[in-house]
Amino acid sequence: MSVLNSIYNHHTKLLIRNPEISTYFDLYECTTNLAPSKEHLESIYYSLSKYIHPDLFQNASEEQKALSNYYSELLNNGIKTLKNVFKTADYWLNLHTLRDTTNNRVPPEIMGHVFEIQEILSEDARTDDQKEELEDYIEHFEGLETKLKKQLLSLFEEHKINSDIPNENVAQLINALLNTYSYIEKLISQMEDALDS
Amino acid sequence: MKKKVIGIDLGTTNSLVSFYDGNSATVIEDKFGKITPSIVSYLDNGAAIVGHRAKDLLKSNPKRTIYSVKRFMGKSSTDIKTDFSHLPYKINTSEDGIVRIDFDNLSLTAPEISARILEQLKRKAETHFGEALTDCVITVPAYFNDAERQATQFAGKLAGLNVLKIINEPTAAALAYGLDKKENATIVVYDFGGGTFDVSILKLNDGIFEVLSTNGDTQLGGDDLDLALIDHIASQLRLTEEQKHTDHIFEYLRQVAEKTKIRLSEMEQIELFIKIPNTPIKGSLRITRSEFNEAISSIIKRTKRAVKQAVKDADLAFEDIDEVILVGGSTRVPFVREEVENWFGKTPHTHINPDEVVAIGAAIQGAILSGDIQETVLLDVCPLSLGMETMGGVVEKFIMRNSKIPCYATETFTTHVDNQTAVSIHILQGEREFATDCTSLGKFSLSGIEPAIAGMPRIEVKFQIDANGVLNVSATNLNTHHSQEINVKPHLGLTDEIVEQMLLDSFTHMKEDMDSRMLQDTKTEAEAVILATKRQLEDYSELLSSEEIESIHLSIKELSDAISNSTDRKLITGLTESLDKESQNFAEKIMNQTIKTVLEHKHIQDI
Repeated sequence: MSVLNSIYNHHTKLLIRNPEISTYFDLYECTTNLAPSKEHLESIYYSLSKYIHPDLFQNASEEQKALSNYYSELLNNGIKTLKNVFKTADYWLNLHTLRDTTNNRVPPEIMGHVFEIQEILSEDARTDDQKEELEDYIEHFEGLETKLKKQLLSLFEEHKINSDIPNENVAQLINALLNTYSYIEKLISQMEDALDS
Repeated sequence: MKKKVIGIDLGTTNSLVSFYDGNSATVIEDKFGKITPSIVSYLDNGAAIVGHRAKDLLKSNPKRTIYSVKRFMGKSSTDIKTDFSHLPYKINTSEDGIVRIDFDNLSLTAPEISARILEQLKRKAETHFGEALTDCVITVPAYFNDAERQATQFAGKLAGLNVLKIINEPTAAALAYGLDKKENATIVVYDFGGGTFDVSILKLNDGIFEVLSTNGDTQLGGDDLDLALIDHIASQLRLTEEQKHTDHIFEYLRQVAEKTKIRLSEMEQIELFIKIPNTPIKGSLRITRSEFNEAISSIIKRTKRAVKQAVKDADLAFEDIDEVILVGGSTRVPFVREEVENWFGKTPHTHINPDEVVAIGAAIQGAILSGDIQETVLLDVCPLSLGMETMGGVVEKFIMRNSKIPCYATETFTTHVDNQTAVSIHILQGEREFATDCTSLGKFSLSGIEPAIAGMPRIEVKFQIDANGVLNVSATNLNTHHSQEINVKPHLGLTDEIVEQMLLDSFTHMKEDMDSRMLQDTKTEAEAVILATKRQLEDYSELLSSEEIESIHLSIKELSDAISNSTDRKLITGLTESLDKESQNFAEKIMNQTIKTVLEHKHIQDI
């Protein structure tokens, strides 16, 4: 049965509260593949939006309005998360209360660069050379992010990861990878802000 | 039977009301036309005159005639960073954070003044349909923040309206253009109105209107084009800053600038003769379109920055855009059209009147909500990021701008010291890093936490943005599972008591305003009858006896005196009717005479 049929009655045009559809993976029919394609996600997003959007329940009961809001929130937050493999992994670990952000030190492999970057960022005004340097660093770190993405997808594949509870060793590996990504992402954002200003 | 849902475009300069008749959306017209100027003039007795009549009072009653009030919707004193000293009315940024507009005996907030405009639009629709109407959709600039949206909803409530949905102006425009289009397309809507600028990127996919991104500037609009032109004219006239900002001089220049801007949209150059009453200021000027273009080019560049950001946020490039839609009166300026066309390399759509397109879209959205239009749905985004203040005044964002709505985010809070029983949370909206640079939406305290060791209590706060883009907050104590709804103060410092009083006042004023408006209508009608009768007397007095002429003159005098001195509507109506009757007899005589003249010298076979 498609996810639409499991939450919507076409005959009565009413939404059904289905406790089995409670996560992004359930709604987007990707419980066995945590990295679905963009086409798959968009197809579900558009087909569900046509039936469950709150505007279509303007004159409905309070319960139907609440259900429409609930599924629409899940749909909107879901596509944003599932389109990004890092966000997906973060959501998945959080879902099973296994996300650990305590180890958020500077990843050793980029330690040298970080000192140089912080020095440039601490300047009140930056020279053209320094700006160029920041642009190079952004490019370099975006390359690193691509590598991390590949590593994450390999982990998914290697450990046949699905939406169920992960084993602790795998969770630890993914936590470390996500923390590195999160650090790099923040650094890129700081550099972009500095360039914009 | 389905309830009628009207669409309202509550603009900075003009407002419109529309409806969907089952086949198409139409803007409602009254004897003044489709447009209602967003102007409210307060008479000495506190009654409000709205629209065209208020516009007529701009010169004679400048300190009590409010225009561009939309610029103050949802603003707190700390938000007022632009210099509004050029406005003839007084802005009071009081210590309590509430922005008010003050005159002799009144002090009003922007939602209260906007409510008068909405009441007028509601009446316009009710007169058209001959029935009471309450359900409506109101449009707002896409870049309006939560406070501005809530202020608009509040104004609707004060006007006795049931605001079913707040939709973004560019999105409404896209709905107006795209209703019949079911194919896929990526659309940019460039919406340059009287007081705000917005840009939205939308994807149209088989009846689904999906907003991909939005950007803009709520403090930039056609008024700024006028200001640029005022500066240009003032500099040509060699006026000092002090002279320029003198109330009546500024108002004179503002009106000249507005007309000049409109004329320069059709002509390459215009000649102006300026003579400001009660001042020695006069002179002849020639202004060319290229001078005007130069004066406004920095403003158009500002709009391009927002367009670039929106395109980037949608993960697109300029060449990915299939269709360009222009909305808002300021897009009539040829330089604006040329620039937008150059950026995208596409001829923009302008076939729907840019003044009406937003209202038409609002009516379509109303029809979607009422079920009159099916298989069309609008998927919108929140325009600004939402976050909270953390250590050092830094903002931690939890819902990013352009997130699809409705959506939510949760944050878990705990205590930092033993036996702490409350946690304070400051919610902000905006893209900047520090709390001081963002809009404060409200501070609230999570209280009633059971005393415990620091770090033990866990309170989950859920921030939800509904399909209208309005924020709702709730908290759950994860240890006790006790939940509470949190009221994020919606009206920038207005206490519940003030809000309640405003609602009461609005009903009181509704009666006063209605009386005032009806009296004004009666007087206008009486003046029209006097004018017509006087013209008849001038041209055909020979058809009447001296007694008849004297009697008509007497009736005119009585009615004129009543118009000037009386507020008794019945008396004026009675006198008008009696003059009208006399003038009808007179008209019959004129008609007979005309026919007689025509028939004279004609043979029966010629007739």
